[in-house]
Amino acid sequence: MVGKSPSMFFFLHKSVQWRRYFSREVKYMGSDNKPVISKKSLKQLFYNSMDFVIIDVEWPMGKGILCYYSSLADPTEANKQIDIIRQRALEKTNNWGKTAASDVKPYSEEELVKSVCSGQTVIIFEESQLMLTVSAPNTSGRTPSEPETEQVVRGPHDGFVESTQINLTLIRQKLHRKDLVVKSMEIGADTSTTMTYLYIDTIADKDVVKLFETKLEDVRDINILNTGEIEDYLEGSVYSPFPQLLYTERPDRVVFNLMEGKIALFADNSPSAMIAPVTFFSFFQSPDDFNGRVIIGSFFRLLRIISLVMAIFLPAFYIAVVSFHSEILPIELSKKVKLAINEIPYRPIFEAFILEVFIELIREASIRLPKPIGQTIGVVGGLIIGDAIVSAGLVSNLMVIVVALTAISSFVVPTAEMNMSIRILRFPFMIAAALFGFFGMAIGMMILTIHLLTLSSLKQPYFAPFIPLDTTRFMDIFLRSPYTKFHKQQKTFTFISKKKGRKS
Amino acid sequence: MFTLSRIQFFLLLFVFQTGTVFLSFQSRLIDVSGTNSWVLFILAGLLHYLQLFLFEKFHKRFNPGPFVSHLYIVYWFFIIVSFLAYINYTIAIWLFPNTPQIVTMAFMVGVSLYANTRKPETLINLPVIILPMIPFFVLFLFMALPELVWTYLFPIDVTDYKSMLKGLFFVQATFIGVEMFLFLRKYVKADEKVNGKPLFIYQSIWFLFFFTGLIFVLLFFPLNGFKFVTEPLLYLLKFQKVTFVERLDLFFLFIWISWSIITISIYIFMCIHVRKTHYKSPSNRFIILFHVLIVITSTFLATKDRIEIIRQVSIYAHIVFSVFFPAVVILMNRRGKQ
Amino acid sequence: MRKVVLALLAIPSIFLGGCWDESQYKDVTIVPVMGITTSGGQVKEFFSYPTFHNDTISYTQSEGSGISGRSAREDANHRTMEALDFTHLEVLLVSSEIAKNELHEQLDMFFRSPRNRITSYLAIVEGDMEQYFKPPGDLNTEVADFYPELLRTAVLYSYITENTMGESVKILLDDTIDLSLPYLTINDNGIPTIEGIALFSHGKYTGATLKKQEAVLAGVMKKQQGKYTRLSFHWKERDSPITIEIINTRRKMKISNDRISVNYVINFSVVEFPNNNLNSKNIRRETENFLSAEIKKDFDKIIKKTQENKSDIIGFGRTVHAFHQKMWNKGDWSETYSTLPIEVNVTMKMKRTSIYD
Repeated sequence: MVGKSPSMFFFLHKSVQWRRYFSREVKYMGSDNKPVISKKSLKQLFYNSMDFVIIDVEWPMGKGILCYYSSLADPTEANKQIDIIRQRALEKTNNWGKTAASDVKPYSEEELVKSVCSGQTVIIFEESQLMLTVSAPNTSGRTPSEPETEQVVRGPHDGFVESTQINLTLIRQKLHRKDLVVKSMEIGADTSTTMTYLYIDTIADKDVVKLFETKLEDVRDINILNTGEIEDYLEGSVYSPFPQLLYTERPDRVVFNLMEGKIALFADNSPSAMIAPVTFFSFFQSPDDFNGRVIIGSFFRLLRIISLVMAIFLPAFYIAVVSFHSEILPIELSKKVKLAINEIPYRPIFEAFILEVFIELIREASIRLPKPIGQTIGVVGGLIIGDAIVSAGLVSNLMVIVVALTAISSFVVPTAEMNMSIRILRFPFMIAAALFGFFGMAIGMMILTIHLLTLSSLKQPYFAPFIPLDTTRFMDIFLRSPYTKFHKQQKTFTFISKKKGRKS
Repeated sequence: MFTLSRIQFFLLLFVFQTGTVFLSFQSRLIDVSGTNSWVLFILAGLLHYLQLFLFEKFHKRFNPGPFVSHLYIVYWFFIIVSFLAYINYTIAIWLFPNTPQIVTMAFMVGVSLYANTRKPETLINLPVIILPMIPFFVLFLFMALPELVWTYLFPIDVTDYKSMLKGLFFVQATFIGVEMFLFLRKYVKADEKVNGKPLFIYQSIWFLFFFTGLIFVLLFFPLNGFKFVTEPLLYLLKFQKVTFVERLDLFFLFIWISWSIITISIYIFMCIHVRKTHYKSPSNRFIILFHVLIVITSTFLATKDRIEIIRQVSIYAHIVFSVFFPAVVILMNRRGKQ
Repeated sequence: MRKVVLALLAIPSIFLGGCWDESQYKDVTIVPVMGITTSGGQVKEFFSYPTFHNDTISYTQSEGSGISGRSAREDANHRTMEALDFTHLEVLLVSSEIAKNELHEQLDMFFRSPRNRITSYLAIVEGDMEQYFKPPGDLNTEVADFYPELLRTAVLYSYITENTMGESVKILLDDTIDLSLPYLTINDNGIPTIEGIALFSHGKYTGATLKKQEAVLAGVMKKQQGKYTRLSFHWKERDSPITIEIINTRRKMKISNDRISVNYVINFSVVEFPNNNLNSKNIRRETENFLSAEIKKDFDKIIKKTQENKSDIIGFGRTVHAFHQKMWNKGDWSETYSTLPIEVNVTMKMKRTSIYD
């Protein structure tokens, strides 16, 4: 393919303006103080990479050197574009080089590297120290398909792909507004990744956008390939178990959040959008809620809140009951419980740890393994080993029920990050319950709540509307109230902030 | 500096007022004034409304100087300590007879320490934790409804001045914390109306909360029973027979513990905050020291005898600090203005 | 934040061995049925409880004696495998000797430790306590299961009014009403049976009891009925048995200075009446009149019996105490009650014939 391309650039016309001698190599013209641009030096600039293609071309105003990465650019498309531009150049159109897919810039090494690395085809005119960049990227990549981690029953089944351009297309298609602002920033000292962020200008808070921009500015020199890596720089409390930024691969989710005045960030080559600032409850919303009917949506949202409570507290509750408060067991159940746990050698806390670790192992293993085997591992692990562990008398069957129920509940949370966090959170609660029973759990719950109340996402209260307390919005959180309007992200920790510079 | 919305303000005030006493005031009240106590409480409700009304009217003039503020801090410290001692006594009986009291105490105060080293906004919103608990509390309480004996409401004998006055004195326990109205009122957003309807709604909620508790307890136990039952609400739940779980009282106890921890945290917050209005912001070291002092003092006080004494004293202290001092400060301020 | 997280993880790990007040459920033995009696100045206690071994439940019994209820309990602990735990006590059987003297004293220990369940049933048994734990007849089940179910059914069918330990103590402390507890005997086949209810006066068992149907009717008079309240009568004139089920009862009390008159209006449905003919209005009125007279007779009998024993189990005292202080203050209520003329009127109203005709 590379060998074929020169024949396409067969020259018909000679330039009228400059008739200069062109040798095979571009020589240094001492008087003009121009940099030497030769095929060799260019090859060296790109470390003689095999996929770096460099060819001489003739142009109406002189010779040029055409170069591109064969792995990034699409030569067929580039030829079409170049033909069109050449035609314009011949006709001497004003600004012949500026078309929808191309641009003319003054030559510089950095620009050249940047353009070539981003997949553009570049023609360098050594004489005039100009370069023509033609965008004809190789568009191989996934087509938008539903993200596996965020599936819905009803609603759009498209998802983001690795190309930011396509992702923006997906959003623009859903959001027909002119005040949807798209901005981008190059990040990285050695490699450059384009970070594209968008917000709706009339809804998003100016201060938040500014804060976001300064935060991004701070990490300009850090090499980043994914939005995940930037997370640590944008989060307020890195050691908090709760994610303070929302990741999603669903365009409709991004659109919903944009309408609430949030900012979405895309990294080139990464299919997930990062949304900030968010609240705790954003993680529990699924686009399904809004597509479903009011009562059904409310039911499922309540179910999710219950599952959250179960995922955090259920094993702790069980441990507290069997090691501290056995008197709360109803009479009918007490004998069965006693029969189940009577001959277990370990304390309930160790029982729970054995099983929890076991479940996490199964989960981790089934992600890594190819799909058909992953399912087998689930079955083998869950059924066979689970049964064996019980009959070996290591763990009581009640504990298996509790842990299994907890595992299922934790997967109900519609966002992957949050369900990880919740699975981690149950361990401290189990320890607290093993130490002080319900008292330990109550203390743990208080600390958790205080932590949530303190947490912020881009300096916005994370646990809104609990902080500042706004009872009118409870309905929208715990239920799916009839759809009327979007609620803006809560801006401050109290209702009015008079002075600035307060400690927070 | 923080601001409060009306709901936040009243929720805080509600926790200040209920947190310390709602579990135990009924027993002492009924012990002295018997079946009259519910009539008495209606009277007390009117008094409370009057007090709130006056506070609202004159709150702008309430600007205590550093000396009076520190007296208040001492008073609150006393309330915190006496309350903590009482909680721990109860916990030792109902839950942890073998655990050293200083451990449970340290955990509870530890939560407050954690909260108080966060930003003030966290603390003023802390009462949200009890919001989901209130429906459970009411539900548990109403399970006793079929067992109430309504004839226990009678006979009423309001001519017995002595027991009525004594009861009126004990009923003051439910007023504890009302002075926070004066301290917190200035943080309420200027555009939110407090006077009139909102104040009346708050008063009604306060009244209903205590009154329901009192009536349920009064109708549930025979009068002679109150000699044996010191935490009637807990016992009332213990008497319930429900199929899904035994020991409703235990669940309620944890609701109450959480409620109490919040109350303590915000009382401590007020101590620190009021100090802050007169001096530079206290360092974390001061906050830690304050908490340690609370743990030590209240552990020392957590025996039956000492609790009895300090609870008696706390009502006198309350009358001084919620009636006498506000009156003096407000009057002095007026003279100063003229 | 970091420090707090570290502290949170570090402090508990020190205690991972378990804490002061931990009591593992697997290390205790739950006792569902317990009996208290006295012999020779000593309190003697019997326990029936399940033991768990190799995934099967078997039942066993144990006993202990001491100077008090609590000490007898500790004594029993000396020879049981795991410590006896009373948090799931379902039935407490009390011998009639104890009930006659010191019921309240024996119940004290259950209220002093908050872990104990106080909603367990309380029943008085006649005769040797050991017999109730090793009944001569064949129960077809275990003692530990038998008594709870027996008493639960009895409450459901209004044979006894629900008398849990907690309620009993409430009534014991109440001056305005007297206690009545289920009364158990061993019948001719050697099986423990609910005979009726035992009457108390001043917190002490009087020795008098109300027999089966009387006990049900006493429940009706108290307006404390279970789910089903069925009464059977023999109608001589029509030579037919009749069984009715009471739907609900209304009671109106009129108290003047020296007498009480009570009006009962009872709605019922007929559940058995071979004679039938209830579609005729006259027969229905006739049935109502017959039943009114019959039940009034029984009510009078109950009142007479309770008055003789100075045991106001119906709770007339409550109304008197609340609204008629003058009468209340005449003297001790039990004495007043025993001499008070009480007039009962009963109006029966048939609401359903329970058959389509």
